[in-house]
Amino acid sequence: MKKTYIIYSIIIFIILAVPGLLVLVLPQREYSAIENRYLDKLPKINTSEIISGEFQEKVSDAFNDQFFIRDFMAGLSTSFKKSLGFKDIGGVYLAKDQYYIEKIEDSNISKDQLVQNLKYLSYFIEKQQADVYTMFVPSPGTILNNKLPAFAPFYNADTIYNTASTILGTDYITDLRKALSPGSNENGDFYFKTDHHWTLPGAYAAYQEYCTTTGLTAQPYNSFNPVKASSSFYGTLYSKAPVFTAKPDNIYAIQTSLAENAEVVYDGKKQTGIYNKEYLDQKDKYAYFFGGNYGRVDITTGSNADQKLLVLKDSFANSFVPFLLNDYSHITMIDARYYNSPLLDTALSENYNHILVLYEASNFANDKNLYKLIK
Amino acid sequence: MIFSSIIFLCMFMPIVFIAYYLCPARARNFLLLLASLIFYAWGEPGYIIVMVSSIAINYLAGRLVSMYKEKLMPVKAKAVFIISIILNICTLFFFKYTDFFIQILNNTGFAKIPIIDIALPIGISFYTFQTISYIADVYMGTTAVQKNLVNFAMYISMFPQLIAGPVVRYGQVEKEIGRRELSSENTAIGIQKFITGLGKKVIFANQAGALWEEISAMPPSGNSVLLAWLGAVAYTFQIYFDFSGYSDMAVGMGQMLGFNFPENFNYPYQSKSITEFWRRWHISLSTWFKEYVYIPLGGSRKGPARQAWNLFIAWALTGLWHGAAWNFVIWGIYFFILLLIEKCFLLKFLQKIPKTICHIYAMFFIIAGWVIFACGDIISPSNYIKALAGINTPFFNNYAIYKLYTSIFLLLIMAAASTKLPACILDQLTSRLNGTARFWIKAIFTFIILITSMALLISGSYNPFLYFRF
Repeated sequence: MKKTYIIYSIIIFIILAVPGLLVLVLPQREYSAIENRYLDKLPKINTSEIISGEFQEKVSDAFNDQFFIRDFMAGLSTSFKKSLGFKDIGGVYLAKDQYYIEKIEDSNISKDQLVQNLKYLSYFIEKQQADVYTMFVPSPGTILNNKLPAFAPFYNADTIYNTASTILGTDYITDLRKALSPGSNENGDFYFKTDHHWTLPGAYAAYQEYCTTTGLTAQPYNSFNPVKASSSFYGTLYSKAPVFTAKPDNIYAIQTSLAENAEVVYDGKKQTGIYNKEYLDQKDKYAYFFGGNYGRVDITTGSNADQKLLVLKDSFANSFVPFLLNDYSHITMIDARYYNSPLLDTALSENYNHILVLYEASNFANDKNLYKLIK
Repeated sequence: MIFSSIIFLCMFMPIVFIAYYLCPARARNFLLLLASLIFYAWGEPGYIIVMVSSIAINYLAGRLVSMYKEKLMPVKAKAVFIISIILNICTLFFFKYTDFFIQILNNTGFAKIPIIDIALPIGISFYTFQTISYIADVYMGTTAVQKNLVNFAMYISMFPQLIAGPVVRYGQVEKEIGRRELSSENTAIGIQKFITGLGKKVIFANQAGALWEEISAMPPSGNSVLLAWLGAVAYTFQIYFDFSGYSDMAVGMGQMLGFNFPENFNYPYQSKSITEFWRRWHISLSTWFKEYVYIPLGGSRKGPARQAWNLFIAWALTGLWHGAAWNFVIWGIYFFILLLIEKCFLLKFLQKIPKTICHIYAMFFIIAGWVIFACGDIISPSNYIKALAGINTPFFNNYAIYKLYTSIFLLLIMAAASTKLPACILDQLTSRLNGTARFWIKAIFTFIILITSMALLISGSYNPFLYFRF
């Protein structure tokens, strides 16, 4: 028995000590693409930080973040919780058909912020000469509610639409819920399974609605020549609850000469074409569309149309706007989160024909930057 | 530093234990002292001074008490004894209760004293109780004085039980402080005990805690009777697995170091009365209050009225020990009332009725007790209690059904794991095997528990520390 005890004890100490040693010996990882964040690294010894305890905290954090099989352990942790029967992990529902759906409850929607934002928007609309259209992209859980686990709480989207209709008036709102309600059609699924964004077919369904509202003529889906840009997209929701069995999403993007030749200026930086291929090799593949989040993106489309469009938006617009390249000579996209000039001035002084406000519904309700609309 | 962290498991623990095993026997106490001071200073660099002063004062007091006793100077011995007890209690009182009492004074309306708002040195309630027990035992003559400063300091600061118990009284480890045997068997069994405790904390308590946190944060409009009870049950499991997990880790590491620490929990949720519950829950603490508060006050020797009063004091203090807030005092008094009722007549009645009913009775009051205990963590305690009682609250809602069916498996496993059942089943299944095979079966379980716990810790899952108030 003595030998057994000794062998066992040695194995345990190896399991404990080797990862600890590896943290000290292996080169430090800067960034976790899976989690989309910078990792904590071992700090330099600093006497005042040792006295305050800050140094110790940093070391403790670094031991978590620099663990040699961190990503595997994260997958193990989620898989374990899943096997216990948990249906939501890390704020994400593990929904049917391998869908990940962000868990947004009524308590996550700030009613006050929503009303405030709508008032900002209402004021903004009043000041404009241009036609203003507002589209709220339904949260994935609103459309895919039959995929949610049984009885899983999810916020009531009516709250947002009804409040918006009351404050803005129904004329200014295009309700996308009906158009997106099938969740998929012959073009494909409307939402990614591993990411919180909509897919190209989802954005196209909204494009059809947009055309109906504005009087533009919607072109057929296939005329945009959609092609598969990536077949290995693990989105942000996957990162919050990585399970080993998850399958990657495909990213489709339209391939037209306008999309490839448009002149795009990102916060002052010029580029030809609306796609950023380098992101396809990275984790955040959705940034293939317009390079992710910028305060202001100006697109000279090269189209013969003579109209100008301003899009006030969150990231959902990035895969939607490509459909409009043919309909406008110039499109400006502004993300209020990263844009620090007076928005009202910009909109008034630059002579737009159309202004589109395009936000995912819960994002709009909770956005804290829309006060910029009245400046 | 906390046990349930990668830095402890993968750095502190291997370094300290390997050094300890390689180190010659006479240097081990010094090594252990050094490791304990580093362990404590890691999380509380400033408050190491408080602990070191406490060690110095009590070491000196112990020496003086025993010297005066030897020289037959009982008055002086008594004076030193009383002064040192007062110093110990004042230190604890200052850090833990000053703001509580300032607020009481302010609430009377006669005073407006600003609160001092200082952080509680972690573990102070545990090591202060150990120093008090030491001084009291030396004064009473039930234990010999410790003349070796390193040995004494090591006893007070020993990292396995420093921050969350058990309260190891000096007499219980006196011999082992001087001389203890290491054996490969104790190391291996100690490791298994430690990993079991780690699993209780990380796998069970933390998951139950996450469930409780979500439910306790529920606005009253979203609550239902079912949900509120589900939350209370989750908290009931969280506190048991957290606390007993910490104790198991402490006892396991003690065994690895050659100590025999007392067991702190003995399947308390199997109890069939509240009296039995308190014989099985946090045993080292209830024993301490019995030995150093209840019995010195006279215990049951001075008539039933005095006995009831003594019980009341002991339980109010037990409550207050758990945190400087009224809900803890109420929680203590709540158990005083229940215990008194049981003592008077209920225990006799319970013996006549089916055991299942006794068990339901005990669990109901235990769970209700935990709700009082947790009041400080609930957004609106009064609404929560209304929800439990079904006042202005629907019996169930979708949220409750969702939470119930997604956590029922975990809850059932935890219910089984809080009884002797798993151990009995394992013994049954392996009864035909020889000792080595049985050991390896347990060993495989510990590998799985250890890796799973590490995965949960690394992924940054919910991992609260419950003892910052103790």
